[in-house]
Amino acid sequence: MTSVTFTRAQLRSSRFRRLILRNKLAAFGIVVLLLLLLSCLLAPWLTSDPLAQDLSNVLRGPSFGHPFGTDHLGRDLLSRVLNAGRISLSILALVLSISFVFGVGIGLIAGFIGGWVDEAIMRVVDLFLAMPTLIIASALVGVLGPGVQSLSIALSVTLWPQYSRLVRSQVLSIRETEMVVAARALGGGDSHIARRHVLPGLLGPVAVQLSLDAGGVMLLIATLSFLGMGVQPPTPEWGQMLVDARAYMQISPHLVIVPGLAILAAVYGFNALSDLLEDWLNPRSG
Amino acid sequence: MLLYIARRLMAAVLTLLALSLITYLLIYLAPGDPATTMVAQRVGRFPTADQVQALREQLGLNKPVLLQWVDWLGRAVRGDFGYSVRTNELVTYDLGVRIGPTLLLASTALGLAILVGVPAGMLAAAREGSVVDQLVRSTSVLFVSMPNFWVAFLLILVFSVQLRWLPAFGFQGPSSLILPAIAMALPITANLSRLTRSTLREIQHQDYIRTARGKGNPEGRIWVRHALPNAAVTLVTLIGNQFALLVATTVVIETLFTWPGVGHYYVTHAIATRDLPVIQATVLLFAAVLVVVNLLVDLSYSLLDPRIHTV
Repeated sequence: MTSVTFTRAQLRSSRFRRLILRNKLAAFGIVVLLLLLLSCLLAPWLTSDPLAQDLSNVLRGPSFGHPFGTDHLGRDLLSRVLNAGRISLSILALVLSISFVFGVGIGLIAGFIGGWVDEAIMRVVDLFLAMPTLIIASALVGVLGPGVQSLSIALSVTLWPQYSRLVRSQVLSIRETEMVVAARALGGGDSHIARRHVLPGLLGPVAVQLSLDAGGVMLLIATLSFLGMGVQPPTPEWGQMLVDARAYMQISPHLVIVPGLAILAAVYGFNALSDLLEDWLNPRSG
Repeated sequence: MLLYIARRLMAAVLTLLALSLITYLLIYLAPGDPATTMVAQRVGRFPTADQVQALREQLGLNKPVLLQWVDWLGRAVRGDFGYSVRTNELVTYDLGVRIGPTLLLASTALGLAILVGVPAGMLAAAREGSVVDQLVRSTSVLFVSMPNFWVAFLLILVFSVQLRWLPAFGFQGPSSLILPAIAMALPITANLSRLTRSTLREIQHQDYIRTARGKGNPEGRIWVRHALPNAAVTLVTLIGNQFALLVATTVVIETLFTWPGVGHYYVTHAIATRDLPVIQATVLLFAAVLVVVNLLVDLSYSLLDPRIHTV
């Protein structure tokens, strides 16, 4: 009799194991992403100064002192890659939190007020979603002038509509449910219902969306910096490091390969995380 | 049917109007007075009040905002986006001479992506779990996560730097088209093969396919008569959706390969020098392409799916 009863933790762990086994490549991507994130965050303690030039040691291949070699100014590539990741990650954190807070706020307003307010907000949201993010972001950076600040503003502007749409549909889908009708009957106001009934149900979809956007934003930061619109030299950034690498790719291909692999690892890791989360939250996947 | 077309057309026009308003308002986001900034950039030092006033009148910046927009739009509809504040050429002329190369590159890339991606997805769906299926799935996952400017770099590294087969930049004859077109096509091919595969897999499990099989139809006939016509609407939508990615990659890849097109001009000229009239015109041009493509996709439904006639 006891042999057929599982504790919740056991059930969850076996489901977790099955999920990992089914998505080995994704699990591998997430592990690589975690290692990358950790070493980027610890970069100041792990590596030397990413800006320190050593003109007697330019364009060297990998060696003991410089595991990834050096660039055209003799700067340590490992240190530059990790510090670049640190900068991109802080931009990412800033952009995701701004667009999340703003997007959720607007979505709640649209869902609760309804009527023409909802209609107007959703038309604006649709407009933003209709345009490729790179075009909106580049136009904004073009007008505001290049730099980290404009980059963060531009990316936040392109990202918030996703969250508004998610939150609004959640509000609409639970507004007429019995639990909300009951909560209203007991005197619960809009803010109570938003906090107790709307936001908890959003946790899953929002987590999936956040990790998906994280991959997209990392790619956009690199792309815009590559185009000269984001992080400015000498501050290292993956996309911008590739611009430097171009002139030397014939003699030092490692300058092209290392930053690119870093971008690939970050973007793939976040995409894999969002896939796995979606699988985990989807009850059908058992 | 006519009502449906009219409604879609109205919606597309309204979207374009709204987008043009947003684009026009960009000028007001610029820090400082736009006219002063532009003159300062053009003459290379702090401008005199006369110069600023002259430009302000040239750009119509001395009227109320909404009137400015209506003026601007009225001229834009006739193809007049004013003058580039840097080159002093008509914006329409500057963009006009570059649109040919852009169309050439973008259509080659899209054609390549459709010709490779859609059959690859079909093959993967037809032979589920086979080597082809595995290959299609793993490469598409890889190319979706790879930044396409890095893919372009690797292509240049192999085919231009190491093998010296193909030119790495500029436009030096037909061979110049190959690398940028492949670099642009790869992420779109990845998307299309993945989406085609999942669309066809879903259709394969439908009742009417099982019925057709049960009646003893040969496999090829089931595909041509039943699976593909039903997948057509979804496939057209999927291809239409790729235009957003196509526009974004045009900007990146043209810049990287110094391709003499609109995307390259937009990045290295318009944005680098904050040439506002050119930024506005280019963004509106990109937006118009996407709105028109969406409209065409919507209208194609009624051709591909007879059930929509009744709507």
